[in-house]
Amino acid sequence: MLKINNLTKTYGDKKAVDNLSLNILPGEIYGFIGHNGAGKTTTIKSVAGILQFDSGEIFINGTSLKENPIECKKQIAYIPDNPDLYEFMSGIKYLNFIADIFGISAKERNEKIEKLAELFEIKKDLNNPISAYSHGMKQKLAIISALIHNPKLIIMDEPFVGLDPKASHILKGLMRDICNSGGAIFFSTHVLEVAEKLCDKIAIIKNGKLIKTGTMEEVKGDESLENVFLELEAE
Amino acid sequence: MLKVLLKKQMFEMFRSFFYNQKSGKMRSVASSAMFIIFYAILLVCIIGGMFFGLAFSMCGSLCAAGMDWLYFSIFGLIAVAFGVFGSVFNTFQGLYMAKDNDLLLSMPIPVSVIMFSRLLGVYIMGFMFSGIILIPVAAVYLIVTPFTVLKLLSNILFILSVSIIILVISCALGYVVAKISNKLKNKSIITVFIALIAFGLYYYIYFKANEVIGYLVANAASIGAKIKGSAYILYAFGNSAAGNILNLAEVITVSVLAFLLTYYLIKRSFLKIATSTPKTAKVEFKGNVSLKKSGVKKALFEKEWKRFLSSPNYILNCALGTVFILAAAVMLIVKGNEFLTVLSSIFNYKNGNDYAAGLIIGILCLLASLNGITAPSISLEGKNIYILQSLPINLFLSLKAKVKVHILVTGIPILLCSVISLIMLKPTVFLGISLIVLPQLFVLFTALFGLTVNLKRPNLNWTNEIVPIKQNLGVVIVMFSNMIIGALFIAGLFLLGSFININLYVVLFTAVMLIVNILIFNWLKVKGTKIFASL
Repeated sequence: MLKINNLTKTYGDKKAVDNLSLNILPGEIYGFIGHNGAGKTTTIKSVAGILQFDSGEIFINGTSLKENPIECKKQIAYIPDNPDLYEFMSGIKYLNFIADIFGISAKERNEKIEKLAELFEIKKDLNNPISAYSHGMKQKLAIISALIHNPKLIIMDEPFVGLDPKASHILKGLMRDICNSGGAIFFSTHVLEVAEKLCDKIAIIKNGKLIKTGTMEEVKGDESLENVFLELEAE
Repeated sequence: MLKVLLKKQMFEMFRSFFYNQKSGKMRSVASSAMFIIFYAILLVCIIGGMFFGLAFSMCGSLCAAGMDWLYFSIFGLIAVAFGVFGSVFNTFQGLYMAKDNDLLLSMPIPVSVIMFSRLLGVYIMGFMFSGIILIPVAAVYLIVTPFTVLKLLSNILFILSVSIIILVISCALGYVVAKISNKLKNKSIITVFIALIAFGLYYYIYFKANEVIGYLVANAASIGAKIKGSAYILYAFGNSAAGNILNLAEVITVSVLAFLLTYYLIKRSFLKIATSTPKTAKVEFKGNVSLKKSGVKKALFEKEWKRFLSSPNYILNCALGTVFILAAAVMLIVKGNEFLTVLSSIFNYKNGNDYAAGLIIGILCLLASLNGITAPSISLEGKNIYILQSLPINLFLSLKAKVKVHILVTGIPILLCSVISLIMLKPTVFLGISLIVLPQLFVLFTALFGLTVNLKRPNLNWTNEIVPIKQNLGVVIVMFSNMIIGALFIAGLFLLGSFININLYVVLFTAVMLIVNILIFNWLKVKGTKIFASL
């Protein structure tokens, strides 16, 4: 579903991501963990087609992101760490805008928005301007907008920040459902307990380099993910 | 405690001198010094010099007639108006809407200390605005009339008192603005409407100023007698600066009492207003979702259109030209014949009417150059830019949507003016077509050029949208360049009019515009889109 080959991205003299390679298969929830400034967001933004990288390749379902970015973006959804949305729009207008961009039929968008807005309990607020939303509500709206077009791959940067426990629970369920129906999820998090419970595979990044990756069992063995992470960080 | 808050307040007020908002880094000492010198020259030499000249023209005659008080009353009132106009919105923002209100209120700092530091900031702002008028006015007075220490002291105390009066009025109006702002639903439309009225008044007063001042000087004795008899406060206000100790004591006492009363009243409501959440047009979503599908182009245009309409700052700073264009259209309908007769007579050629058509094309281009909607449009994406970058669209469509907004807001009013001119002037078929086509080509150029400059000089790291709109060199470059091109067309008409046939001149200019537009359009399509994707 997602194949990252030797991705490198530099900012000035600093290598934010250094020769990183990953392969995410359909049905997998792939967690991405690392310290602040390790290169998680840079990798995620590169995969989402927002950042242009220096070298390497990214393939979405076999399509090169470099050569055919629009086709790739049609198959993915990106949820940023900070849901900066168009504050001059109302929630419903924003969702309609995203649906228009993805060419979703009126029937499908209405059903999808109805269902997801009710699920995340923000339906009654959809007419209000986004500027009046709390951080959590914006995050919920960003999640709904990402799911409107049935993406095959969802890329999320710290998706649980700002969500209330119920919304977090719902999102975890949705993530599993998407993977069960053949999709894949690649997300970063600092909450190692969540990663441990939710992820099928995990990748640990340190100073731009991938230092460990594999199934949860392969990475942590009998220890807790937290212990493994802290040990790797200390090396 | 107060010292720390004042230091913070001062740094906040003069932050732009020491901090580069675009790069997010502190300026070097040399850069800060250059900035301060530039602003000092701008304020002291240009605005201060203007008031120095104005004061000089009035001081001699008024003081010779024993109307020193009227001299100070006039300039004192101008200073109050200037100071209040300049600081009322800062008062509203700084006193009630300061972003650090919550942070400071959560700290062990007495509310009165927070308020006092904020008020001092407003006072300094008012002092800067009034001082730029009253310091030259006082200097002229001390030069023109015999110098005494009493006059000097009176002038200093008068200037300080005027700043207190400005503080009091600004606080009162700031309170009203804060109250209204918390209750308003369609803030942007109402703000634009109020601002347009204020602009209208400003220009009306500006154009009437010479007439009014001339009238005041000519009728100083009778006006002075009327004010003395019926408006003692105004008389005492001016007389206090002229060295009358009793009036000076009265003005200082009233100012200080007014300040204390303001302080007391604000203290009572400060917490409530500073911690209230502004109301927004909240409408509960009821029933089922029933949205309609639109195409990508329409969706992108609607997004840009909503962005434009949502911001009074954007409308007022980048689309004010539309008001002038529409005013020109009305003027053409009402006084078009007289205007066109004058234009035709300017050109001493046998086909003066044709040249008048050319001149109208130039005027329309100049009017169009007043709008620069695309110039900050990339920067205004700000932190939201990732949305467009992550969507499966050709980003050139998004650039085109920005151009379309500019064309809609500028091109249509210009087209209206062109059509009215066409009907009134009845030029040849060729010039008639040119009257429609060339201004539209120029409008397209201003849109494309604005976008190009903004792609080259974007500022996406802003916290206040006024930064990319107003404090943006790119916007200034775009607007001035557009004006220069419009002016060049007119200048060429006058300079080359007797050598080149008007039709040829218009054809040449149209061809240049067309070629430049095609070149920029293609640049935007290929290079501009890549730049947009990589921001």
